[in-house]
Amino acid sequence: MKDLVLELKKEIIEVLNFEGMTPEDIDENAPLFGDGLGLDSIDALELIVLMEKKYGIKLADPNQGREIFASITTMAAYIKEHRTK
Amino acid sequence: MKQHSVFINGIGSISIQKEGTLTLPEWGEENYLRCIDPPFAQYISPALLRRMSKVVKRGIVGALLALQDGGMEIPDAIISGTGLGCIEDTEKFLSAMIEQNEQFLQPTHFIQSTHNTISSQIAIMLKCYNYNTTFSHLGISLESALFDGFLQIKMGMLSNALINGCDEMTPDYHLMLRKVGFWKRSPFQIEDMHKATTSGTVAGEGCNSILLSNEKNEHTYAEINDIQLIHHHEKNNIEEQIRLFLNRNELSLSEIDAVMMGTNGDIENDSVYDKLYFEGKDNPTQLIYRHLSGDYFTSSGFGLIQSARILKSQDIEPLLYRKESKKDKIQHILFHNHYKNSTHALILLSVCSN
Repeated sequence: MKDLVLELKKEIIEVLNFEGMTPEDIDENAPLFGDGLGLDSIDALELIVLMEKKYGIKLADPNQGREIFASITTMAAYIKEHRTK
Repeated sequence: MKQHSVFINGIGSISIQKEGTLTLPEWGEENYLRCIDPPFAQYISPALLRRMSKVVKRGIVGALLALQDGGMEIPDAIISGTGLGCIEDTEKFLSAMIEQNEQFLQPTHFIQSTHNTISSQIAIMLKCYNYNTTFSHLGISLESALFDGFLQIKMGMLSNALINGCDEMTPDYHLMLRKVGFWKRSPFQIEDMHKATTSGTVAGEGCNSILLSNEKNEHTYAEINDIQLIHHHEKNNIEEQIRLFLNRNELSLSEIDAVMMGTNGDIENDSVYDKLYFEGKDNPTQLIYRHLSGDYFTSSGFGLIQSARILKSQDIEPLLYRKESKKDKIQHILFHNHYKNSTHALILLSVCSN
């Protein structure tokens, strides 16, 4: 799980182009949207693409996103359980 | 209908030149130079910056510099010209389509890949909800944007307008143009600009912004008296068109102090200017700029900015000379750019005494 959290942080930094940011700068329990990392709706689309491309997870229900993308920890937990890649 | 005057009140440029300097670049083997970028984070918040490609960042900073230079916050219009638009994001998006079999495409590259992204991102940054348009007409894109702003100010529809010319030269696009012989095969020499003997030019990129206004003030660089875009030149005699253009402004070529030309070291391109200004009986001072900016679809913006600076300072940087004719004062500059000798842009600029 720890490895997956680190991997996710690295992926998010690259995909969302957080130049100059390191995995240590991201709190895995902080909210991804709003106060924490401050992501927005376009970032949400990027994360959906990332989930499908990297882990083979297709999110069919948009309402699921709110829970899954709450933090990096919740994302990692969902990926661990549902990944096909 | 009352016609308003049009002044250049602010300029901003991101180019292959270090800010505030004008030197002959080391063109190197590839004849290809990229922009010297400013510290973008000083102008754009990190949250916005991370989603922007280079050309968008440069376009925004160029625009902010022009507005700052002209002492303006929100313009009446943002009008951009770009030959290639956001080509880097377009390449990323199209490459991903091929590599990933049309799946898992990143939305950001798609959203940012359109030509009008630059103009719209400037508007978002400024919170400017006014007229916003982008012209994409290859080598005459910047002039088309300028013409739009010029006409609307002239007719009283706008008081001012921010005009931007932005293009980037990605390695892939540079390679494609190399394959079709667009760039010089041998190392560039300054002599190429004075008497071109080979085909091809040098590759650059940049974002040049000009703030137009109907009011002359302490920021004013020059007045734009007239603009004419001549399409399908083959049906028109360009020499005659220039004469008519100057005549309608009560001038002749002998009264023009300097011509700023789009000479780029390519024998075919430059012969057009040679026939008009070098071989003619009237031979005004000839000024050139593409050896300092590199050639790209909107490089004329760089030349236009140099023209405005000359008219304000009455000082001509020696590197800009192709042929010098002694003048006491630079009163009028004829800016002439052509694209493949098919479309010509004529812009008449005059000194503006405050």
